[in-house]
Amino acid sequence: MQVTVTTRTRSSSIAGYAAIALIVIGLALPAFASRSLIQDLFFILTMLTLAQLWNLIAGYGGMVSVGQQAFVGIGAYAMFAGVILWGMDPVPAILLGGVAGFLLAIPMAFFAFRLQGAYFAIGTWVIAEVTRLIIAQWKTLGGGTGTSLPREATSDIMGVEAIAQLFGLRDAAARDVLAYWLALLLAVGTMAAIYALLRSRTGLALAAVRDNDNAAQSVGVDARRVKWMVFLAAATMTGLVGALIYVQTARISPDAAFSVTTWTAYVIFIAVIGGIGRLEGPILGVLVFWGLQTAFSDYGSWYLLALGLIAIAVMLLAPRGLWGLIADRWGIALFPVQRRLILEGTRHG
Amino acid sequence: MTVLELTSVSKSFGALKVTDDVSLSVPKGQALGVIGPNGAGKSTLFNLITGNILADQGRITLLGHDVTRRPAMDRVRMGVGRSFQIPQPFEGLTVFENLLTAAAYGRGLPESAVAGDCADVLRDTGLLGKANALAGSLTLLDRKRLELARAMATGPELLLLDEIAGGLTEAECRTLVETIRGLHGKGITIIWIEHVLHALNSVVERLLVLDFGKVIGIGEPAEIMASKEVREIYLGMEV
Repeated sequence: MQVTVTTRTRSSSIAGYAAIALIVIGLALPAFASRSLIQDLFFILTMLTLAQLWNLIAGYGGMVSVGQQAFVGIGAYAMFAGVILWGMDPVPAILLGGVAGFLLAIPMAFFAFRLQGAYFAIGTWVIAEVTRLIIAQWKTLGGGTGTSLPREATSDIMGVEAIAQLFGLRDAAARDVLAYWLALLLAVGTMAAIYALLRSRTGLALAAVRDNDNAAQSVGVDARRVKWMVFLAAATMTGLVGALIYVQTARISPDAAFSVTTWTAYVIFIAVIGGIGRLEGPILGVLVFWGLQTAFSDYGSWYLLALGLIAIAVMLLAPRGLWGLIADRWGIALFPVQRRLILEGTRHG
Repeated sequence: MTVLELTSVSKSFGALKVTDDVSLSVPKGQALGVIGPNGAGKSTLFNLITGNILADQGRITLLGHDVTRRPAMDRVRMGVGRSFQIPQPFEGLTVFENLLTAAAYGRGLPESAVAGDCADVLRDTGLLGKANALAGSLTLLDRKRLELARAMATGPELLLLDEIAGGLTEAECRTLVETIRGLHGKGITIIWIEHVLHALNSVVERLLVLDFGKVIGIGEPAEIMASKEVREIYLGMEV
């Protein structure tokens, strides 16, 4: 039969142009934005990237990990090791974060993939805690109390001088601009890669494995391979993000770098309230989260309680997240992945 | 040509022998029915053939290749398509995407090369109007159709149907039987487990009876249905 298959929707074409415009504006932003806005955007972009990566493995792959802080932490520590032990420049040392995330993901997947559902979630958490405890023994990198990037390393990061001159900034502000650009690069690169993956044949396999592992194998999908591939890729990218975050803060401790609250609970919050299993979800979720964080984070534990209540309310009232509500009401999909079958001759019918 | 050959295949779950020394040969193009009481090991026999579980003993060959230790996904690519007794659609995907996944992976081809064939299968199984609906939203009949359609999309030489008519109304059952007969007419080898005997016997040329994991009879449907042993065990009749 003569058929056409499309994923395109009217809103997706508009979204494509809007995304390109936003990226261009994002790149040019340091020329006129304040330093505090650049810092806020750095936070938003890095949390967005982490949420997209968690969404990839949990929302699309069905692997609900509560151990993503392991990759943030190991990535950050690998970058610190590169700078402190081997005298690397912090920016290329970020790549070590990716390598470390990848390497840690191999034993983690080996053990955790034997577990299902809630056991998988707890298993990943336990492995992350074990990693934190081991790293806290590493005395040259500050042990349990942590350490800072040495002054000579942070004062001489590649590209900072050029940025300082270009925008007429002091070194500290120029470092923020560099970190922001790298965060923008990672966020855009991650989302583009996930979108491409979901639109490829592997995207179908991933959804099939999530919905029914057994049936997926019965139509020829190599479920194990798909899960490994996605888990390793997400861990690598999470390691890169972790390293970048700690280039910006320049100070590390095991408790902060392996924090389950910051790097997994917040990240899950973002994905859940935005909408799991769709690229638009974390984008909306991170903006809501950032708004709440800016307005209420001074309230300490009350703030955390409120976050929990909001998450519960969204799960009960809008199980597919806030973006799910929007998509259902107006039928909008900015990054559609659903393949629709159009029969020849009925295209306009 | 023999499509499938089982030689003394056995499988135990703990102390329970669910498949006991089963030998069987299915020539190309044949439609074989499998009957037996609940717990006779019919679905396990299917799982052994598809590779969803592996045999403890014996040998399974598919189109002349030994596949005894090969995983399910390899056997799909060699031409084994199956439907599940309880429909197991990929609920988050549309009906068309369910088929697209099966066709692309089952036949090892890019999506663009199989889209047209998927539409053909949807038409043949009466699902074309629901192509873009989410599989999770389907009725029981449509879920059963989707099971059949997804198995067909993998391009099977050998099609295994597990109680595909169970739970359907008389009219729905007739529709499905017509579809299966059509597939059989195209030369596809079929093994079909079914409790709805009139549906089964209107298609198959040979019947196999399982009880406690053993083959207790195999032959022409009329002859099998008439045998005293089968009537006693399977139909629970004192004759």
